[in-house]
Amino acid sequence: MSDIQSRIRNFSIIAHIDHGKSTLADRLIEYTGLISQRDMVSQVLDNMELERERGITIKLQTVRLTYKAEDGEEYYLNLIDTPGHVDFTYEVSRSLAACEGAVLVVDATQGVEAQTLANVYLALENDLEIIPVLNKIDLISAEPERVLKEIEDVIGLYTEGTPQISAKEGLNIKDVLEAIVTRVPSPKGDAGAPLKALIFDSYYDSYRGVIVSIRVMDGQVSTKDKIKMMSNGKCFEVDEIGLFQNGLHPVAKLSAGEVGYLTASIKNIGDTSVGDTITLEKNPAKAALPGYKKVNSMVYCGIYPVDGNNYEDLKDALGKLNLNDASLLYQPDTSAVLGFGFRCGFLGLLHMEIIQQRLEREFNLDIVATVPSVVYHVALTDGTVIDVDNPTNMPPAVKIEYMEEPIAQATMMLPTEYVGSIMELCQSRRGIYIGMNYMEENRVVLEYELPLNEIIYDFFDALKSRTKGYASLDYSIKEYKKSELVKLDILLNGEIVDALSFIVHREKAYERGRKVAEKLKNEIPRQMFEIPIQAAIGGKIIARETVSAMRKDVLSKCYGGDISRKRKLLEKQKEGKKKMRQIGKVQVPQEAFLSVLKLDE
Amino acid sequence: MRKISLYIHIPFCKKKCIYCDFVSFDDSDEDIEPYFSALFEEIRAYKTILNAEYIIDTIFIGGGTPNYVEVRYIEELMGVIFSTFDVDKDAEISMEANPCGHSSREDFERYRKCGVNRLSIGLQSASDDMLRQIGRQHTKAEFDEAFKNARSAGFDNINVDIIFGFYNQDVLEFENTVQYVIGTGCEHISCYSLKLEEETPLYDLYMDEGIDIESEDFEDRMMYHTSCGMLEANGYVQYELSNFAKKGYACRHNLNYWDIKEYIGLGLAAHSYKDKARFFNTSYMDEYLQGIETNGSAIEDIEQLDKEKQEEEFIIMALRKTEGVRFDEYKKRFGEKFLDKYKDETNYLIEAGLAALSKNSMYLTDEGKDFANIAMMEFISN
Ligand SMILES: Nc1nc2c(ncn2[C@@H]2O[C@H](COP(=O)(O)OP(=O)(O)O)[C@@H](O)[C@H]2O)c(=O)[nH]1
Ligand code: SF4
Repeated sequence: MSDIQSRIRNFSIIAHIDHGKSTLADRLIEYTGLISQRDMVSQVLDNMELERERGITIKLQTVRLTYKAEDGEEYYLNLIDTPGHVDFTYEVSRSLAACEGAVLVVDATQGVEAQTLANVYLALENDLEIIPVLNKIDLISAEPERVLKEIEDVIGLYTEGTPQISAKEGLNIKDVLEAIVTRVPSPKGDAGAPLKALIFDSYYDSYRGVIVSIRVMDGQVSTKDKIKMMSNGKCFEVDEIGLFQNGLHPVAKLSAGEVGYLTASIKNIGDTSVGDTITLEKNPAKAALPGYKKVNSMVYCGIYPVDGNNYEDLKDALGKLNLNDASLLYQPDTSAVLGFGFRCGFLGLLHMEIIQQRLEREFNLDIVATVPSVVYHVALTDGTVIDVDNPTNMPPAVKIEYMEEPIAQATMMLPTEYVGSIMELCQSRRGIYIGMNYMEENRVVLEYELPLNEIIYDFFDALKSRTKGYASLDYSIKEYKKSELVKLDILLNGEIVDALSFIVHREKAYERGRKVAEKLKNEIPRQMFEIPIQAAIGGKIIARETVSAMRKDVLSKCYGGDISRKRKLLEKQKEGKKKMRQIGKVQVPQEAFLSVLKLDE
Repeated sequence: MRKISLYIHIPFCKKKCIYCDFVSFDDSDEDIEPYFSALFEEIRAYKTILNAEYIIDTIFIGGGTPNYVEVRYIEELMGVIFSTFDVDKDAEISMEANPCGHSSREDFERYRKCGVNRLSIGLQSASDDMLRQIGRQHTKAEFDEAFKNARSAGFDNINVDIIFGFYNQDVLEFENTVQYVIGTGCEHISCYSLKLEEETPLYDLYMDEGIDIESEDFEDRMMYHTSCGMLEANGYVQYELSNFAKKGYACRHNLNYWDIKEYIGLGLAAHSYKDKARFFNTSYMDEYLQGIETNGSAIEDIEQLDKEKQEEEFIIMALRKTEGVRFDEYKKRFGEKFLDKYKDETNYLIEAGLAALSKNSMYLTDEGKDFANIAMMEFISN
């Protein structure tokens, strides 16, 4: 092992959302002097606007810090950021695979949460050295003793010497750095062996093509090397190699144990799948690194421009987003009522929401998103099995032998007092109780099997509102199970609105149909005529509501002082109308499509 | 010579009606004296602006209740106007009046003498019960008295204001009101649908009683169309969404607003339109008095209209009128053919039954009058 290799520490920070991961990252960067405090735009790692707003990381950022430790040696610390949400579990696991250690940040006022546990499990799967850190000890409500005990009891980590810090106030940051240096092992790996580099992230740069974040496991890679992607055999010539230091810092080569980036005029981000292994074309590794898998979209929805003329703009925007996010799938689709648009696949609900918001904010598009759907397996009477992610494509009932739906294993952590209410919620969402563990006197871990299509209907919101925000949730897909499913159609003014159709369990169809009709009634403004709203299964109406006709929309009095006010009111009204989508004769606000999801009252 | 209209605001009332959100006060009589001094000063300050180039075509003294203040204030006001501006000898000079204000025969003679030649009297309802409920300060009999006094004082051009659409008003009661007004033989009738304004006692009442405003709309339209029919049958021609007049008695001043002509508004909260700019005075009494005292002006904001906005306003205001948007007038102002530019919009409205075409105009149908905003919105760009 080279001298340098022994002084490298590769680590991630893992935490439940809001426990202070980003703030700690800022402090580490600041402390090691990579960026002066003055230049810091606070939380350099979370650099997308949306991410900052929601306090979550979507795109990974990696930084290399140089730290002179107490022992007098200089260490190179690669801080590999991880995305902070369940939708990105696979990405998290690959980032962790690039590390030897993980700093586990736990909020000393909150304690262990669902994501804390989920992240710990991922870290353990990757054999990482876990360094617990208690954060927010500046707060009077901090309970370090209780939380340390919780970490020992619930996670089973040894907590002696756990740094107790305030990331916000920069207190005891050095303890964290020392712990990293002394406890995280230096990377193993043989610089003389054939190249094996793990891709843990990639993003698109319009000048250089795809920039790939790698961890070199064995061997070394230099500029001009011909590299090969082991999953698909594609080859590229390396243009540049470097470290994540003050942005991108080119170097001649990267050797075993190091973390950095490479560019190789790669145009398509899909060629650089996270988890794939890069080797050299000439002297390839015998086997790829373990753990590579192709991630599948879990949730699909249709995205349409509010104004059909903006189809091309939407297409461009999706293309641009896709450059950086290979997990976003999209393909052209048409809807009888919405016209031309796209069927899009996402890793999960959050991923979907983020993409929708980015389309609206970054690309200034007014879009209509249809009811999301999971992927169902439909076994037909002719013996074939098809995947259905769009209710419109569901074959008629007579042709279906049986259907299967994805089932998630959900872990929820919540204060004891809410257990009853949450069990009731899970039950109402067709959940199957698996077990419950007390983490401490007043908090429990609740395990349920829940159909994914129940989770995508505002389960998370319902969970939060029933626990006043105190519950946390983590889930992963476990299996597909046979289920009695039907397609529920919504008719507006007598016409089926394909964009509002969804697949639902037979027993819940009636209730859901009624609720959707009620919701729509409240969302659709009165118009010049009466609008019937119906819910139907296979042509049979199961619920009906009516939006009564608007009788007037006129300003009776308008004299000298009212003219400009009147004009401005009409401008506003017009603005509102532009955000509506015309379906048949009916104007439907964008929100109506979303509101159908929010059914828990 | 450029014609221009003048609006003068008198923001004082005996007692606020429960539906009213106009800028007018029932608790500030001590401001009357300083207000008129400031108003006169503001008028004089306009002398240089409305120089020899302008001639005043119409004047409207509105409020508030202009006949609530001592008659001498109005006399002096007219004196100041005549001595400051060039007023056309055929100018239409209107004043609003309520039966609770100065309304004896002698009072009306004085108003006439100082130049007022048209009155707009607030009746609102011919039911004493209704009048009481909405906080009016007079009975039907008192209105009747005032109206007769005005007539005998020589006013031969009188408008009567009525209002409908209160939640507890029934259609029959309103028909009675319309019938009564027709019976007075007035020349002009303004018939307004109630607009519930926030921050009025009526609004609070609706909220307390849990009344859904839209649920009243059905009756509101019944009353509207009933009154349109009754008035039309009795020789009152509808020339705007809420205005009806015997032949030759349409209000020239208000038509100027709807024709997007120029006007200057003076006094508290008054609006003006001149040289393609809309501007207006502050609505705060102390700011107004202060502003006039220190700068001779109390303008709060100015908006210069670009061509797009001028056009929008022209069309939406024209659609209020029975004759609608006149193509020749549109062409004259904007240099294009209306039907070329607004082909899709026009077709859409015709198809929806909201508008119709005549040889020289596009106008709202009876149904269109109920949904005027929807029709107008088509012509808002952006
Ligand atoms: N009082 C206090 N607040 C902190 C501390 N560390 C982070 N925070 C706050 O906690 C919130 C979440 O922090 P952030 O770093 O964004 O959490 P992340 O979601 O784990 O990245 C922010 O409002 C921080 O300012 C701390 O040590 N003390
Ligand atoms: S009289 Fe007219 S201005 Fe005065 S309070 Fe009544 S409605 Fe308002």
